[in-house]
Amino acid sequence: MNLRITGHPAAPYARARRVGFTFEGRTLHGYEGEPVATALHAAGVRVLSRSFKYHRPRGIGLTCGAPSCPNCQLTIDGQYGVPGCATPLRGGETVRRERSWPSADRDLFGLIDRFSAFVPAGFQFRLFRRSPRLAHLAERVMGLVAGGAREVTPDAIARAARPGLGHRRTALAVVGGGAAGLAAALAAADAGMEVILVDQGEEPGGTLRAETGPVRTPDGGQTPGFALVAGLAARAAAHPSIEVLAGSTALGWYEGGVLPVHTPAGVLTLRPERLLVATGDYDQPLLFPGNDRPGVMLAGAVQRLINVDHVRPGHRAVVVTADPHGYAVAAQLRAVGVEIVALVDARGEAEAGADAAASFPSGVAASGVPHLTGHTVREALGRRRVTGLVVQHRNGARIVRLSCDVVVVSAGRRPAEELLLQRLYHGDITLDAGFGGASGDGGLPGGVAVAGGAAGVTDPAAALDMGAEEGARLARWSP
Amino acid sequence: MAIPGAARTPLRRSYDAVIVGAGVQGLALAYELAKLGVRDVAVLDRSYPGGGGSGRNGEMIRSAFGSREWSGLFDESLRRWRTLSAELDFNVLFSGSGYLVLASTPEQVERCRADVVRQAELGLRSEFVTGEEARKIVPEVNPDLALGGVYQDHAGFAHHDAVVWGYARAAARLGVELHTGVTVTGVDVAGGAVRGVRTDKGTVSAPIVVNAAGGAARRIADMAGVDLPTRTCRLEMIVTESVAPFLRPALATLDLLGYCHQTARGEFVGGTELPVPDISDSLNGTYDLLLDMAAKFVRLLPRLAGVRLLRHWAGLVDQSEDLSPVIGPVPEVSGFYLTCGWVYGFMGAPATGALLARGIHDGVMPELIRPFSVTRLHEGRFIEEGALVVAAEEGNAA
Repeated sequence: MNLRITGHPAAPYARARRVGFTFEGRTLHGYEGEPVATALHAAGVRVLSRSFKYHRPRGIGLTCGAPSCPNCQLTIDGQYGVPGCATPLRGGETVRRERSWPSADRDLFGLIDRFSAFVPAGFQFRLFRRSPRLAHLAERVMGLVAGGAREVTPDAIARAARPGLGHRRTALAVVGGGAAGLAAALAAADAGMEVILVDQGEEPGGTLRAETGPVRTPDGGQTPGFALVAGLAARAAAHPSIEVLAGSTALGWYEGGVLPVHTPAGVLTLRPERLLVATGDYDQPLLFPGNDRPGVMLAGAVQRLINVDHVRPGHRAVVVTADPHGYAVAAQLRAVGVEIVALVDARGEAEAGADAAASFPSGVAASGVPHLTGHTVREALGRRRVTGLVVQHRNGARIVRLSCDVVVVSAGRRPAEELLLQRLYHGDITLDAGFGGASGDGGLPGGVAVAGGAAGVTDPAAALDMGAEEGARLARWSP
Repeated sequence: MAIPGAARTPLRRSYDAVIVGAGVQGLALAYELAKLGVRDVAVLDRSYPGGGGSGRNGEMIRSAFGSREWSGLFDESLRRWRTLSAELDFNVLFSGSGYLVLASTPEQVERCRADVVRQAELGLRSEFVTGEEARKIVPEVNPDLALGGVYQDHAGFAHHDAVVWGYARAAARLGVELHTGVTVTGVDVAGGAVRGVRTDKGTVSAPIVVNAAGGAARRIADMAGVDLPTRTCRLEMIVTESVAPFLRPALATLDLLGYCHQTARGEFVGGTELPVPDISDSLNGTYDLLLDMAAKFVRLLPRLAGVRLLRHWAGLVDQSEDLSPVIGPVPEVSGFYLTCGWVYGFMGAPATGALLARGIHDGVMPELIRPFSVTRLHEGRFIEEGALVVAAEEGNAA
């Protein structure tokens, strides 16, 4: 069965031009503008990289689109370390995988993982400690293995040498263009503020771009998440007081209030009078042996794959969840033709059932999907791709072995608060105060606010409300 | 995550010695004291081991300095560095890949030539290299900046975290207690002698208290009523992603006030300083210096162009007027010792730990550390060391 979804029941899709590219000597095809990693996945490539030390196979599906994980770093047109999940396919490029020989599929260095008991974490601090000569030799070999063949292309050098875009002052900078950031920018701009909205994605919208489920709107109605943020993004793009910097990353928030932004055209140094951090959150993985096998994916990445890129993660999925979101993603997977082998929830029947209710109105059992409540994951099976999942009832009596090619994990989120943490040591912000739900007093200096997922608010409607409130509050604040 | 070497027992009310600061200085001293039989030692730190300058430095190690005082102490340290992994039973990833101080102007070349003559007189192993020789040692260097230099083929660099962990574990094996998350709030002094420290976890009595508090050293000295004429300055560094090995030795440049090396896993690590010291106790990196560092290192090593940065950090040094460390007893408070005012504290730690421990144990400071006493600063007898790569007062490279 083809992984490409045709006739998606919930999310519209205008399929772009089909283009070819070269992958390790073969010609593969994908659709222009989709992430390179998605094109590889749809073409059946499961191992996208090998881990740094143990050379364990790694695949798509962790924090896709926000390249804070190293799983899909590829060499594209000679440039190493390009995040495949955030690089649109153009057609004609040459793509290679890294850190493996002779190939990432059959990597001889993968043997290191088989002998991992002999090279535990920190093994290098035990190695040859009584023999400086051997230690020195080992260090040189390590250097060749670690950094070997990583050369910068002339193209990258030319990009790095571009002059900066200079300095810009602005009344308000909003970092992150998800629901909270868009709502904040609109609220502040409606109050007369000049706003620059910085967003990492190709277009704003954040994680809701991949949400087909209903979200409560401020007027009390309901609309699919993607439609909601598309509407907000369109309003922001048309607003005369909002400038949207798409495909752009805030590099840091430095002393003196300097906020350098890496845009597609070069680095723009912003000096905002007010700052709103709406950088969202990350899906958290669960800890179990094999949780890094290709095919073990996090819920947000799976949504992006099926609802934005219109590609199935696989054919048979086990969904491991501890929140309503996992059940919603399970229902969305079913809707695009992925078989749900089982729903696994560590909590009791009552709690799990309540969370499942919105997505499985007549109950999980009625849908024919086994609902394994009170079960936790023991391990994932398979080497170069996941082939199954072993789960166990919490009283230890029952062990179930499930056959699957995808494991979807929905186990809570962590605020993407790096931009604020960077300033911890300055005394502006203290860890003790925390940012969760901060309404300007969570240890933040005046003129700085945080909203949405970055503030620990995971419900889209609540994030939207918080963004609007904080944007309006910052517009009233004066230095 | 468990902190290597951290005590599993609660902080007691009394020890034979308390060391304030679990950096490389404090931990090396604790280890060496324990080796001499002084094992009832507590090392206290408000944060985690190596959280200050010990984990925020350039990792570089040499002994080719210009003064008798510096070269004596640092050559002893270099000797210890070369066998430190075996000593601590922990590979600190010392790399004896060489250390090149680069001269970029005719004046700097002459200075290097004179330094090498002086170093030979002091019994140091160093050599003067011409521009051509320097370019052979570092083929990727910008030839315009490589007119000559001072080279030590047996010096190099080590992994700074590993050194901290190695000392912490070795000290713990000998019975030293490392207590993290303990903030010292006072130093008790009575009758001209130190009695112990007050902390947020209670009072601890000890006849010996050592101030190894790095960026907070001046504050700790104040608590004991001791005037430590130092000031806290911020230094910054950058780390790039892994690239193919291209830089073997540790490299410092007088012209750019920069220092750098490439680690075993291919990351390039380097820092530059602005001509005027950055007086601050902030641990934030600044954007201006980030740009400065990136531009200077691409100029020095053109193949770094286009290489991406992974990290950028700031660390503190507590520097004295002559930029030399302050080591040894304090005349007005017996039992209170200092090892602070360090700018080159990482490379100096193995020797200083051993020598100061010997001095505390015997009651007489060894020859090599005696010149670094705090009294020299109060009496204005400054150490004249001309081969440093650090920002000095009047906008000159000292």
